Amino acid sequence: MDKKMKKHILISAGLVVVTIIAVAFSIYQTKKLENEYVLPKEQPQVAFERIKRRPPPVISRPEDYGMVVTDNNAPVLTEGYWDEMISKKVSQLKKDTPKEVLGKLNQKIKEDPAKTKEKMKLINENIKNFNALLAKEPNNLEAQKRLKHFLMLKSLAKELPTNE
Amino acid sequence: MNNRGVALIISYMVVSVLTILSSVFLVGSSTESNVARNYSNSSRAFWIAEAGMAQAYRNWVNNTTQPEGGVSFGAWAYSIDTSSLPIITVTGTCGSATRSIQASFVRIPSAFDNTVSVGGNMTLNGLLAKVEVYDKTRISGAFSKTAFATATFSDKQEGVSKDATTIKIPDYNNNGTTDEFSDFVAFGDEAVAGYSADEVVHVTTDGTVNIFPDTSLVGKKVIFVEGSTPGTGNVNIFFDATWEDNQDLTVISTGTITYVEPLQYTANSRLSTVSWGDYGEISVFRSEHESVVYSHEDASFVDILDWGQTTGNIITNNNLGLTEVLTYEKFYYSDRAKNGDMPPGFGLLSGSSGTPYVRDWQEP
Repeated sequence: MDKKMKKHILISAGLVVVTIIAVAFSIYQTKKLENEYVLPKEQPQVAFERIKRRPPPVISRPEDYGMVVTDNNAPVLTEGYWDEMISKKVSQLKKDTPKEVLGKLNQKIKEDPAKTKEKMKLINENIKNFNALLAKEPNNLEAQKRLKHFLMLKSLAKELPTNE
Repeated sequence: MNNRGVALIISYMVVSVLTILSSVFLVGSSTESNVARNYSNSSRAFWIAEAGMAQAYRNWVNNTTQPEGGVSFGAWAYSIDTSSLPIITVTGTCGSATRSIQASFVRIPSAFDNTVSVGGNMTLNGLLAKVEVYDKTRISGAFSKTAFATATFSDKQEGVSKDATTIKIPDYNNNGTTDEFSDFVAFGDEAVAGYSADEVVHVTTDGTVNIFPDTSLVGKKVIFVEGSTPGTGNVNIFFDATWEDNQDLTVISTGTITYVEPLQYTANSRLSTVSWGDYGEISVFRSEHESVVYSHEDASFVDILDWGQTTGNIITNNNLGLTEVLTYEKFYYSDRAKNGDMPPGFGLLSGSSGTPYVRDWQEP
């Protein structure tokens, strides 16, 4: 066998080896693709409420969420208490609320001063009545609750806009 | 130069290229075929699991036994796992493909069928007041009103069973008894745990939490105020706590909840409440809001010289009192909750009676 023939045989063998490797590689790649192929999972419609996750921690600063926490000894049956809390919060809200939203709200609740006066009269009458009842029955929880509600409403009526 | 042998090399090269190409096409077409088969099997497995879920739902509604060990249809099969009720897992198989789906089956309490559901008596103390309740009003006790008030109901029934007007807190502490304070606390914890940390606010206090509209409450789903004993952890909500359109927020309290002057201006938002103690709504200006209200005790509405409109469901296990002074108050029904669009946390109040409903499903 002469030198040239050997060279040809070597080149041919090389080509065969390269062909085999290329074919094997392409088969490996496509099979890998085939095995890895999976259908995407359907997305949940709604998170399962019952699947327990670790509950989020209890927050230590409710004021970070604009909340005001008061203890049970707060003087909730006095007018000044609600005046202070509500006026402070309402002025803060007026600052924080976008002007267009505030305008919309004002439009909704603005009313005739005579009507506000009438409301105040009704609220004051109720406050007077419940105060009188509580003077007789200081432990009447229902009367305490109702008085608190009317005091809240009075402070609100003072703060919200009228057409004046 | 001697060119002998070049033809052989060129022919080898051509043969090699042709071999590579034909191999690639051959393997490619076989792979495509396998991928198509996998896709088909996977789809079939999914839909066979869906069929199994439909069967599981039917069995649950009819209170019949779930098929033991699964059901097979030749090469296809499904198996139903009911060990974690109300969550049901169904696995479908087809060939080598397996798909599982989970759903939770609940019963929406009958109280959600009604605009107003009262477990006790309903009273209207009014002075030149007018109250209208649209759709169903169901009262386990009786309705009464003062002489100078007018009440109009589309459909009112008195003396109905408490099953149709009240909701019991499920046995969340697993002691065999429902409707205990500890069940309510566990319910609140579960409601909070059902959402991510940035969607909830959990406050523990025996005092009173006053909630005002605040940008930090955007996107919140649940606010849970937890007191250590029944009647503590009271909440006052001023105006509204939803700050963006489409917000759905539930406030849960172990004490009382007072909603002061609802001024809901956001579109399609809903602020709902769940309280172990009384619920009170008071307004002095025009109020208009959408809410699902559930009070384990009494509920009351106080309106003065204005008009109000509440859309949703008012559910109180005890008495409902309306105090209207020169007002016009309207209550409208919303079928959002009834149709499964429950406010956050309310799905956990589902019990063993009511309308069967697939609350949600997912592919785990």
